[in-house]
Amino acid sequence: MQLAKDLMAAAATPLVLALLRRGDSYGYEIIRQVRDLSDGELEWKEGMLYPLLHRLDERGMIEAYERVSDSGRPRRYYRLLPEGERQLDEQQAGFAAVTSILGALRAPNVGSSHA
Amino acid sequence: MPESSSNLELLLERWSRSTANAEPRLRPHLDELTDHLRSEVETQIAAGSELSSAFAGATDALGDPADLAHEFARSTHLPGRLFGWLADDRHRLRGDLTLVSAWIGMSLVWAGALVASPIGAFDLSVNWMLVGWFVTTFGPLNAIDFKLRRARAARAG
Repeated sequence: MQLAKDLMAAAATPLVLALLRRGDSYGYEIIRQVRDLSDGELEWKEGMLYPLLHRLDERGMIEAYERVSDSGRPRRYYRLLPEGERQLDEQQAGFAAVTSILGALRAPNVGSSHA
Repeated sequence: MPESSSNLELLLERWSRSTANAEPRLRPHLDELTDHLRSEVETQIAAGSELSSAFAGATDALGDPADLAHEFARSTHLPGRLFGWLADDRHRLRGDLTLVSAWIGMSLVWAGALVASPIGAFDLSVNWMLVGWFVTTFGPLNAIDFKLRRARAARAG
């Protein structure tokens, strides 16, 4: 299954925020985690992720900082900020509502006003 | 340092230098992108790929530097840099109200200067008129610029 471009774009922010809620991470690791968690269904492009991280950082949802990696090199990590937590809660509630409505509409004759 | 590692560092250094020259807007992000390339190439080599093909694959996946720079540029707009909270949807109304109130406030100050000038409270020189004109124009222009950029970003998806 390949997600439509629009759906992928809409899901990118909450996915990044949710991953960072589990712990600080960096670009390459985030792409790998998304691929693993989706069993390879979601393949994020670097050209999409890094500008997104930059944007979320500018908007105060996440914060970038430098840390020495296991290989001994400095690496840019990201951590979730309270504003990001708030946005994530909002977006998760929004996705849950849409999923709930779609689920209800899949059931025959549920929510239909027509006889 | 093993030979493949030193060769990889050489390739990364060349890539970083050529990308910085070709696309100066990417310079602030080059350390992070180079780190990404290094991780990807090391992963592919560990899976059995040759250095040259792994590096070519990793840089191809990163895409055209001009496109990447464009994406970064889209994610940063001037009003957002000047007033960070303006970039946040939650505070957009607050930002707009602040700009409008600043505009009205400066207009009132300028009107006050005009009224008060006959009794000598303000020096109504041409320079002051230019400053007043600039300040009272900058607010709404800034707000319009912000709105246009947001609309463009929304259209681009």
